[in-house]
Amino acid sequence: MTNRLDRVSTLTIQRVTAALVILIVAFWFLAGIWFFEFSSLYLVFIIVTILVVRSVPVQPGVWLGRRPVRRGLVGVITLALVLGSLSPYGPNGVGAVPFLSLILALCFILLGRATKRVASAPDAMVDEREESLRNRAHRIAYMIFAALAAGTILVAYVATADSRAWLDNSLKFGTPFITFFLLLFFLPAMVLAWLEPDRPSSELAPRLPATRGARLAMSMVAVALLLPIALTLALPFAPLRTTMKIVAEPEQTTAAMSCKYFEARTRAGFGYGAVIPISAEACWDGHKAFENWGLNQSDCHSFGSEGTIGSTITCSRTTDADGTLHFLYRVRLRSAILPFVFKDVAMTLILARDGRVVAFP
Amino acid sequence: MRNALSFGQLVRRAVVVVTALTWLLMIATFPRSLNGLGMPLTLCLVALDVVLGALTGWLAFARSASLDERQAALRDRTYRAAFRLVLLSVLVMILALFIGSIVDSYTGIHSQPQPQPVLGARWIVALLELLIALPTAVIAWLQPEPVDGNPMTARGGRRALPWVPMLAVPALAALWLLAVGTLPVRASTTRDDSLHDFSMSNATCGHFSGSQEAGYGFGAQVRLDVEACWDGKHAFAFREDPMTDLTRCEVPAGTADFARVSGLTCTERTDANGTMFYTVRAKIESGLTSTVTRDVVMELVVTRDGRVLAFG
Repeated sequence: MTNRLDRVSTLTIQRVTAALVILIVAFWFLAGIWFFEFSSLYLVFIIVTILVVRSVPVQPGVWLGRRPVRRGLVGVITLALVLGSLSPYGPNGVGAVPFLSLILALCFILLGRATKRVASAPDAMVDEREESLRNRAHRIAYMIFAALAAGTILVAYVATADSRAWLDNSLKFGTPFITFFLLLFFLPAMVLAWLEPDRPSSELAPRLPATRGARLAMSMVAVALLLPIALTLALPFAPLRTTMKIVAEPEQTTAAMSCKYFEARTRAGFGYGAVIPISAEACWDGHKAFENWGLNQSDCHSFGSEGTIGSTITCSRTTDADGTLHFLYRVRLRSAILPFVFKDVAMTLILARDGRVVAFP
Repeated sequence: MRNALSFGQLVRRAVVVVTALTWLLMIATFPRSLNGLGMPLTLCLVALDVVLGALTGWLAFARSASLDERQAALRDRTYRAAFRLVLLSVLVMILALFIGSIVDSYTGIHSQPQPQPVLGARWIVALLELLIALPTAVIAWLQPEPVDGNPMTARGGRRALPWVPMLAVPALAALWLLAVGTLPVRASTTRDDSLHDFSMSNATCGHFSGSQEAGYGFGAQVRLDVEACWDGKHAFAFREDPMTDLTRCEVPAGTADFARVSGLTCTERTDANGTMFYTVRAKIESGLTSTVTRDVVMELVVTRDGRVLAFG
């Protein structure tokens, strides 16, 4: 019986789960995550960091060996998950999600330390007492999870059209969806941390020696936590990188009118930033310059935004008395992690009535 | 060397396999619409759950005080396996969603004017089934011998009634028929003039989306999707390419899984004043019996100058 359970619960399920995760991540990349260049690399780094951290044995130490401290930690995680689920996320604002994500990352590292990662350890690594306790923790965690998830989803689906829309939006990789997965991964460890009694002082293991692996894991965790902050602080100071091209459009050109295609892309920030584009066709006929396409309100949008939220300050197209076309698109890129950090970027196209490009971009 | 399975174990495993197949059919990418089969499948799942529960003595739901040490240990261990299986199953569901969205992108469904729901009723039922029934299914699969003593009746020597929960099947069916047949139809309407950046020379357009739903998510939905335009002389519904058209008359995937939509007709009429009358009619039928039906009518009336006289 035990062997069969072991085979089912630790080998097959884990391998199939890992294969599915790889498959879904592959779909995700195919669906366009490759577009977010830094985020993709950061995600890979986080996964490697998790693997390295998990390979290093841990002991809870004096503080995390105490039940009140562990329960406090579980309380902080619960609070962060609740606040994260209720925070708006997406194009209309990011709320406190990035900050809460950092808090949660730290708390989960501490949680693993406090429970010696018993919840997910292979059977051979745990003694009989730990095995019994973690099984009990899984049962309690399952019931909490089932009640929370089933209750929330069913009520949200049935109650009103608005609540169903909330459920739909949540599942499009909103914060409640992320909370759902975090609970699936960490709830048993949280329950375990809550249940485990105070460790007698005789059981408090001494601090483990700082091996090369432990130092590497610590360094990677530090980099994973500090890199987003460092890149955010660099946003206002990073030089703008612009590429542009202007191409004549002979197909649109007639005896009375000439046209050109204007394309420019300005990249702001390192890693965390965005690309501000202009892609338009403008023409002139000697009396005035005018837009053919691409210089409208609907064309004022940034793309490739990573760790920033772009808000349009100005998006205007005018033709002055001389017949000169003026297009101005100003956008403010505000950091999603530290909202007081921002960078303004302006894109301009000024085209005279005789086809002279006065300013671009 | 493996021991031969006992007859009881074979039966339990067979029921688990049938339950798993039914669950897979519930979340399967194909068919894209269950077209009223959702409720029979749900009732089938509930019945199979009760069978599994009875065969395992409802061990997964037994109070700890009623179990001996061995049973309690088995149950706790089962929950650990079930927790991991929930994660695995949710990943399978996400994969099915991905595949569904890819299929939709090749069939043009992605360009529908109203966004498709991520989670339809079939997914909700599949998720609930996972969360409620998985520990019992794991116990049924792993338990080598019949469970010693029914934990529900171990105390006091009362004879158990492990099959009583089977009453949930007709009760659920009756409740659902009541909901589809008598509860008010839920209606919603939205107007978005900037949807899809659509514009037309010499005319102004607006997109009108509406729906009427019977069964509160566990029935069917009839939709109205019209790109209405007006040019001062008359109002009309704009149509172009059937694949990308903003004016649609169809039953999208995921909106008629638990009940059927039949007799869907969309008619457009313009009167002498240039006012457009666009009417959608359909009948929602329960998948269980043809006697429970709802007639649904939605209407959009737009004048030649863009005034909306009726919508919903």
